[in-house]
This record gives sequence, structure tokens and C-alpha cells, in this order.
Amino acid sequence: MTGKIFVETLRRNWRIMLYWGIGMGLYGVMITVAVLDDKSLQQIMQVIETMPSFIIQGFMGGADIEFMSSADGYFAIKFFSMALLIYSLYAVTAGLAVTANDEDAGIMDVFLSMPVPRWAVMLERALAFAVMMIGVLALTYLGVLIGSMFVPQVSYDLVHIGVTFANIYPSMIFVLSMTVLFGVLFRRRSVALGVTAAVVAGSYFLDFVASGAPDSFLGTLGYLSYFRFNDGVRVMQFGLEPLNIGLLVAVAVLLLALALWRFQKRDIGL
Amino acid sequence: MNEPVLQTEALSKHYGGGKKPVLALDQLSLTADRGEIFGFLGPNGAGKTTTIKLLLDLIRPDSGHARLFGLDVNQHSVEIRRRVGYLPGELALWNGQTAAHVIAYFGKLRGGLDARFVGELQQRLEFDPGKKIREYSSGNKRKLGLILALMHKPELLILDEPTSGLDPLVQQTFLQLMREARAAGQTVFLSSHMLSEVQAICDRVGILRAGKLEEVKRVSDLMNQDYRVVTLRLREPASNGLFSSLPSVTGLEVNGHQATFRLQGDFNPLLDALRGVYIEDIGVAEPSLEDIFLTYYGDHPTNGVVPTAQKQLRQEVAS
Repeated sequence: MTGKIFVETLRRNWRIMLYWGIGMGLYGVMITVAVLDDKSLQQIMQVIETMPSFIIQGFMGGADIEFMSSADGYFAIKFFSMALLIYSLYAVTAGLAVTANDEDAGIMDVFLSMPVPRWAVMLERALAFAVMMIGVLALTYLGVLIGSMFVPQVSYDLVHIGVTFANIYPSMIFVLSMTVLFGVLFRRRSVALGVTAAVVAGSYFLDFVASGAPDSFLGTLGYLSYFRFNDGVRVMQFGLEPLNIGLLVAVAVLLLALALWRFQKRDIGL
Repeated sequence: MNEPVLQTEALSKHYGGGKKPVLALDQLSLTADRGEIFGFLGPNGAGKTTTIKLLLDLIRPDSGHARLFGLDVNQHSVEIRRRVGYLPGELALWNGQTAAHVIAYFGKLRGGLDARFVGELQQRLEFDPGKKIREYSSGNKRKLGLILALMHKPELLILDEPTSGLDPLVQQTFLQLMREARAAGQTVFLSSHMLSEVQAICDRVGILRAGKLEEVKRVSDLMNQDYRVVTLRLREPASNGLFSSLPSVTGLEVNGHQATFRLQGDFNPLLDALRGVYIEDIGVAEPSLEDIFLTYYGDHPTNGVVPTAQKQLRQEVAS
């Protein structure tokens, strides 16, 4: 590994990272300033309490109503319950850019005539996107910090919010690795995209439904969804869950290792 | 004894698994030596690009071996690619990047560039590297591909249809660059169906058909065939029957008063058969590489006729 592919990948994709970061940052600002005072929060909670319990469970997971009526709880439910789904889209586009896009366009043939090992191409690009994911999360967090300055009357726990942003990262890495693997297995960009999108959407739906019935078989089935291991609302209230993080990172590493092995072995550009 | 720069041994490759795999390359064994320009001829689908991809370790053989510089292409892939320049049949690159950036990036991956030499190549090929890839015509993309293949002065050039899409002037520049490469001791392995370019620069050619190597010969030996191309213009309309008794006549084409065919051996049997026929004009020509090439794919008496392949080849040759 020389780092040249890593640097080139950063150079070519930092603008997209910036757009994603700014977009999500503005979303963060919007959510942050939406809470004006405690009275508004109480009103929102009264609305939430009228909802069926399985919907409340689906959005709030293990968090309690008291937490939900705080500014942090409100932010958690408004932002973090959807955030991973949106960040997953970025991770999918990044994963496709590791090998699938170039192979589908016929560029990989020329690129692999350079004196670089196949594994280095994949690893350096994946690492560059992993770094850019930190950038997207950091820019979003910056948006939240800026937003919080507009509402000094609301007391956000910005450290907890920061920790919850960090908690999203292992899941993004997982989606990145999964997409890279699908890109290598299916060769065609469109097929890899379709399969990955189905897994992401299916996981989100499964987690939402399973959270509404935690004691049933469906609840157990929910553990098949990576969203289950990234409960932003719980993390906001109780802190990081190292077991979940470790599990996501371990699976992500395993998927990337599989992708590396397969890419090293198989024919290119058929 | 010098080891061949390029060597394949019984190299075979199928595409597509399942019930009906397609045999793309069948037991290919050939060599190319240092300082040689080796032409790899064949119609589309003959296995030329498959061979090139196997040599570059982009795809893996089902059986057999390929060695470049004496090294196995799979086990020493990176080391080999450092010493090889490659031009694919269709060059695809990142559309949003400029050619100058791509050249610089590939140069970095190769561990540095001789900027003066790159500038010289750009000048000789009349290439402006300042545009984005999407803005280039196919001919200009081809020029960029040639620059990328040549810029690090590789010991071996592997070029897939190198002059396809180039205008005649640039084709001449390309031929000159290949001659200079040979003079500098570089080896060139090029696939082509542009027979004029093969005839102009290649030392040896390998003729590939349906994945099988039909023949490897020096171009000079191939040109020195024991037949001539004869064209007769007759006063009366020509007919196939006039030549039917002559086994030395093959590839007969009758068009009104004109008959063109290949004649093997002496002229006397032909003159005997034409006794009493009024001949207005006789043309006798040495066979061009194109004629010879067609004998391998078309109506060669010993290899059978594959009508669609022959037709396709004639179209390619004509183009």
C-alpha cells in the first residue's frame, strides 16, 4: 500500500462528502432550532402519548417517556431515529464507488494494468470512504452545534449528542463493507445497488416492526437487522453500547475481508 | 539462450459456467521475443482480447500457464505490470477528470514519470491533455490510451486494436513509434484486424480462429506463399465452368467479364484450360496479407468454410 489511491479517492470525493455533510448539518440545525421551549416539548409529548403503543415503541425503542419529554429526547427521536437510514444511503454510494462503479464502466481493466495489487485498490478506497464518513458525521454534528446556538433557552447535552453521532459510525462501516462485498459478488453496479438497497430498507422495516413487539418471535427476528444494534435513542439516554459496536465492527471487517478475498480471486471486467 | 518475453503454454479459458460454457481460448501456446513486434490476428470473438486479459492477470485461465519475462503472470502480477504498457480495445476512464490528471495519477502509481517524454508523445500524437475525458472523441481517447501505455517506456507493450479510430496521419505516427520501440529493444504484442498495419510493422503474426491458434509465421514467410492472385478480363462473360477442371485455382470470384482467383503452381494448366478464350487483360499480383489472412478464415481448401465468420471478416478487412 502506497497511499496514492487513498489520497486520490479523497481528492475525487471530498466534495460529495461536503455536500452530504452540509445537507445533514442543515437537517441537524432544523431539528435543533425546532424546539423552542419546555412548553413546546410538553405539547409534543402529549401528542406522542396519543399514538398506539407499537408506534411509540418503534420510534423510541427502550427510552422512557420522561426522557422523551426533554430536549435531548426530542432531538433523539426526531433526528437519530431516521439518521442511520439516511447515512446508510451515503454508505451505499461510497461502497459502490470502491470497485463496482469502475468495473461496470470498464475502467477497472485499465486501472488494474497499473502495478498495484487488487487488494490495495479495494482497501485504500474503502479506507478513504471510511474517513469521509467521519467527515459527514462531523459536519452534521457541527450543524447541531450551530443550531443549538440559536436556541440558548434549550439545554442540549451536546456531549451525549456527539457520542450518539459516533455511535452511528460502526453501522455506516457495516453498510460500506456490505455494499463493497455485493459489488464484488454481483459485478454489475445496478444489481449490487438493488440488493444493497433491499437489505437496507428491509432492515429498517424489520427493526421498526420488531421494536413494536419486543417479546414476540418478530422481536427476536429483529436482531437480523443492523438497525437493532444502533439504537440512537437508547444511546442518547444510556450511553454507548460497546457490545453492539464491537459486533458491527467485527461483521464489517469480516464482510470486507470476504470482499477482498473474492476480488483477489475472480476475473475482472467480464 | 534468451528467454522469451512472452510465453503461453496450453492456455485455455471458458466463459460462463452452467450447462453451456463458451470456449474462448483453446490450448494457446505461443512466444514473443525481446525486440519483436508480434501481431495477433483474428476476427471479433476469436480470443484476442481474452489472451490479452489473461496475460495481464485480469482474468484467470482454466488451464495452462502464461509467463511474461519468465515470471508467472498470476504469482508476479504486480512486478510484471510495472514492466508492461497496456492499451485496451475500448478505453474507459473517469469522465469528470482531465487527461492531464489521469496521466499524472497513473504516473504516480508507476512510481514517477519522464515529463519530457510524455510531452513528446503528446506532441507527436497531437494530443491536448487539458480537457475532461468526456470531451474527447474516440480517436483522441485512443491517443490518450497510447500515451498511458507508452509513457513509462515499458519493456513489453500489449496493445489491443491500437489504431482503431485513429486518423491515417496519426496511424503513421503510431507505426513509427512502434518501430522506435522495437529499435529500443521493447517487445510489442498487438492484436489487430488492420492487416496493413500488421504487414507494415510486425515481425511475426499469430492467426487465431475460434480460440485456436491456426498459424504462427514470420510476416515475410507468410507473404512468400506459393500462390498468386490472378485477375482476368475476358471478352465474353466469364463462368465458373471455365476453371472447374483446375485444382490449382481456388477462391474464384466471377463478376461479369472479370474473374479473380488464386493460382497455385505453374501457369501452364491455366493457359491450357483457357485455350480458345479471348483474354483482354491479365493481372498477376503477389498475395497481400489480406488475401493470405482470408485463406485462413474463409475458403481455404483445408480448413473448411464458416460462412458467417468469413462474411464478418471480409467486412472487417474492408473497413
